Amino acid sequence: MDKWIFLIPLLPFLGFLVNGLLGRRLGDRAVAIIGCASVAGAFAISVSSFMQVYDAKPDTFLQQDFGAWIQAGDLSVSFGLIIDSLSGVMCLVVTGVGLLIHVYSTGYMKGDAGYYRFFAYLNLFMASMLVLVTADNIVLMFLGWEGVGLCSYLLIGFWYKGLANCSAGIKAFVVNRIGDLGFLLGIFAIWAACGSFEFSAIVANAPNIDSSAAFWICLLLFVGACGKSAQIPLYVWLPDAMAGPTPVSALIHAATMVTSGVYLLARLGPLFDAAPGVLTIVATIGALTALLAALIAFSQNDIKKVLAYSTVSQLGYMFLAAGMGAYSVAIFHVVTHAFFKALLFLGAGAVIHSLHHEQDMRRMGGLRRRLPWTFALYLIGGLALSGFPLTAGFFSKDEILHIAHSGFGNIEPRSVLWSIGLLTALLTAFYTFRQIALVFFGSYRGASEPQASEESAAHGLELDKVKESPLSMRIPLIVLAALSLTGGFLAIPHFLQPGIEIPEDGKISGLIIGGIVSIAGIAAALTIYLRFPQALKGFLSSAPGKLAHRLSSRKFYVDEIYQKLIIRPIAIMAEICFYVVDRLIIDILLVHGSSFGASALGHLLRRLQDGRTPTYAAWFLAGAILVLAVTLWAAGG
Amino acid sequence: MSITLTLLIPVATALLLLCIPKDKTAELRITALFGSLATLAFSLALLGGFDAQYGAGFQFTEKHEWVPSLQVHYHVGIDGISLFLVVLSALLTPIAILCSWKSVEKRVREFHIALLLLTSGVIGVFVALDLMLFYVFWEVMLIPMYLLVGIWGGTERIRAAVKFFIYTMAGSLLMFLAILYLYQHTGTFSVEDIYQKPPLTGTAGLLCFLAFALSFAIKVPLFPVHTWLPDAHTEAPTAGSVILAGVLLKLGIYGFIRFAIPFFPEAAVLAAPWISVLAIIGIIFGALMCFVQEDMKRLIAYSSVSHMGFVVLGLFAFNEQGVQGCVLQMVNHGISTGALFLLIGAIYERRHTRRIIDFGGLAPVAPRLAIIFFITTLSSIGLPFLNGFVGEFLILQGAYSRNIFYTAFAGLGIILGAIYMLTLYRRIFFGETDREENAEMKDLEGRELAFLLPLVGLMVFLGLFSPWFTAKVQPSIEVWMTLLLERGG
Repeated sequence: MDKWIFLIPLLPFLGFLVNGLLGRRLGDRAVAIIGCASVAGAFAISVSSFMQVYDAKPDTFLQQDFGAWIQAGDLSVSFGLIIDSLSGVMCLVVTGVGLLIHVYSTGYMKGDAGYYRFFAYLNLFMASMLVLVTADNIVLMFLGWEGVGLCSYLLIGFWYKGLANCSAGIKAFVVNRIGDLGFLLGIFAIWAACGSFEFSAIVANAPNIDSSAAFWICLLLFVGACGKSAQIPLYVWLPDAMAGPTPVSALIHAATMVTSGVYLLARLGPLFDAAPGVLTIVATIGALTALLAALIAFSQNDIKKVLAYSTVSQLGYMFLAAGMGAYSVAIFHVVTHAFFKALLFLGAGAVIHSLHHEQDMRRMGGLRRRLPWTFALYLIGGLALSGFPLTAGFFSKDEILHIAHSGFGNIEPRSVLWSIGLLTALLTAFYTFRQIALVFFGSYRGASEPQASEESAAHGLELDKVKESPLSMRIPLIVLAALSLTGGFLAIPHFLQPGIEIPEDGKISGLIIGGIVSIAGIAAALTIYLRFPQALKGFLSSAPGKLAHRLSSRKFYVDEIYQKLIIRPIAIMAEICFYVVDRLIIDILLVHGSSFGASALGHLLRRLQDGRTPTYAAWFLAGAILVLAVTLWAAGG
Repeated sequence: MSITLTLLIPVATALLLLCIPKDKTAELRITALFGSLATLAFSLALLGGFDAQYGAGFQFTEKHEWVPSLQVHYHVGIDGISLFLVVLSALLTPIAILCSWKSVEKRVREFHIALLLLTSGVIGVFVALDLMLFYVFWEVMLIPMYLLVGIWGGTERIRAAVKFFIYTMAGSLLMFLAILYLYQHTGTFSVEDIYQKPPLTGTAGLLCFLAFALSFAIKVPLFPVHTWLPDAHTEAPTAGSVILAGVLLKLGIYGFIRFAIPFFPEAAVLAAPWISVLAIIGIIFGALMCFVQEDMKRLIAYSSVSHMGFVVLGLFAFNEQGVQGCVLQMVNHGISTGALFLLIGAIYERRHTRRIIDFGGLAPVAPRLAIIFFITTLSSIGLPFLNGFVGEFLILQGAYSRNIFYTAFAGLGIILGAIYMLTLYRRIFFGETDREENAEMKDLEGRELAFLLPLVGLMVFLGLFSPWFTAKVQPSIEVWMTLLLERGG
């Protein structure tokens, strides 16, 4: 299998080329087949490569090198790919979940004018993501890293007629670029410290790097991770990214791309271990992001926005784990989260599809009878996200909380972060079932729009016209639901880190506490939203209730603060630079000043040209003598 | 003879054009095109015959006496650094002719003569190994450029041309004095001989360096002597902008590499931090300028100020990565910014406006234009997989080895670049197609694809196979670095 791992990213890339260049002529059916088949091929090769790594002894890997990409002096970057246990797991998740989402998209995007374009972008995304995952050096990883960012931009702004979509795309790209600058600086620092970009060399060198260099390298790389994985302070792009089609939200903005930052930390684990100061920052940022996003998720009314903030929050958990040095546990949560969050997003997509592009939960309700399949599958996703006992999310999240509580390796327990994590778990279960209550329970509120005229035919859909989605959309949901139920039993930490020692003390009690918290949150949400909606209204109209709701629904004014503190000053500075520095000082004062001086001199010199031949002759003679003198002087010298 | 032929074919073609009646525009255009293609073929022959393993010194050299009394020689040759600049110049000329096929209708014969003489002039600068010869080419090439802006330019063309002329003349004069002083000091105009002589040091060296540096900095252009560029670019016809961005700006960098730095290494090292800081200011300042531009051509012109800042920064890092990145990025910038000017020219030809606000929703109307513009945008903002990234990466790595803060601040330019380019793209191509003129706009035609697709191909090729390029340049850079070291840099 060693010889074929290059096909893992290449097949989707070929799919991109074919669909992108010829898709318009091929027709939707052929486009869908090419799009799905290329990913299926990558999945098949991933499986067999993974099996080979899995069967062999620990620390085996498949590697392939295709020569230099960048070369200058002693600096060299190669096109090198590697499949080891870590990238093997990631490949499986990316291609597996990716394949399901491709299949789903064939139904979801049916009839869209940009059908071929959509599959071309999606395939390009798969190729980039797989380069990111399989790269054996950090610069090639950066190629994938920027590639997925590009695809994210393209797919967020997929419906480009809406300028708001395009602006959301630009916001995503730019915020990611801020992180990328950190990443790039980290790469340069790595080369300065190790003289190599290859992961194996960096990891081998990690213990020899002096601690302050290690600190800065890791901090800079973490800035990059914050951008891509939507952590404080760079998380603001992810909720806006929901402007893209829902399969995109599931694939890119939940299951795969946004976990790249976690993958980066896991890939360079030993390097981060050498920078304990950065690990503390990572864990703290992770826990705070988890809490903040959960608080915002509370009051969102858009079905996808709730899931978006929940993704930010769950990514926070992953960084909490990574910040404890338990990278394999973080990856465990990456995997289970990919299953249940893809399920939730695709389920939300099914709801949106059935309601003809309605996303506002205030216009939903009571859908469980009309959409029994979607309801059942969504419920499974919701339970997994809430960490309901024995679902996938239960095991991975509680492992994280357990490690935060008991410490891991050399890292001391972090009780404060543990309690934040536990609180967030409660909030998570609550907002998830608030959503399920609003969407599937109660009575349908969609048709009650009085002004539902023809132009807003999409809104005000009668309940009896709401239909289940086609089979192509349901099957991926079923597979993901099965994985969300069973994924917790995968022993990913032990596979990735053979001999990993997770403290046994308090493990059982941790699981019990986690289960109780989850059930309590679910019960509270269902009780309040289904039994006592009046009490909730009463609370929200009280002064503290109003304040809390306002803060949460306005997202703690973070976007507004960025606007005032960063974006506006840059715009003002640009204006000042242009009008004052460029135009006034340089152009008018200096250049025109000197050219005015020159033309004044010219006026003086014009007196020499009085039109009389003798004057000219005299000047000509003087000039000739001068030239001759200079020449002689030069030749003599 | 190859170099001389590459130099002479455009001149010969220009003479041939004089024999064709000036109202036979089709014949004039075709003749000029074939002449420029022949030049390209000869430059490619140079590329093919170039021996990367040749070691020290110049290849394809020719030396003949020219003005014996002053020891001025016709002495030409190329190394890895000038090789690609010659090819780039030769490549952009046929493209400039093709893109003017329909847009230039006034004085067609004179236009092509100017364009061809300009080609000879710039190639001459890149191959000259005699200071006097270099200076002649340097001055000669100014005139056709001045005419291109002043005759075939936009409404403000005279003002722009005069500004361009004043700026460059100011630099040239000082440089001429420095050349004379250098001649008096070393007794030779031969570049290779000067390399062997003990370098000028102290105040004299510094003053001479500054005289050269000012002239080159204006051409680059380096902040704060950049304000001629936006005017010249905006007013120049598309062909002029392409040559200006693609080749003329590189003359300044090339001058630093070939003359100013190795002639006066002590002064160059002394000035390096100052020049690097100016380059970084240029990167950020140029990018900020792009935020407030309403004319898309002017925006790209300011983005050039930003991009050229990177190139200067890489050069003055004085290490292999930085210089390698500098040489590569010169070519990259010529390709991607050249392509951007071509695309904007194509849009202008159809709509007769360049104000960004007049556009919107072009993507469904002109998909080919939209795709090529997008790829070019990505190349310009340095996305990996395309050429711009490799150059920027090497430059920033080189600068990082010199001073971490250089890279940190220069890196801000990458973020700002993404903002202004993607916003520009959104404003032109996305949104509703709400104007009738836009809805009826024609997509790119075969002629335009013929010169745009090769450029797109080069963006991908250099983005993925840059070692093909850097391997040819590497030995020359090593020679250059040793030279610098020997001469006390």
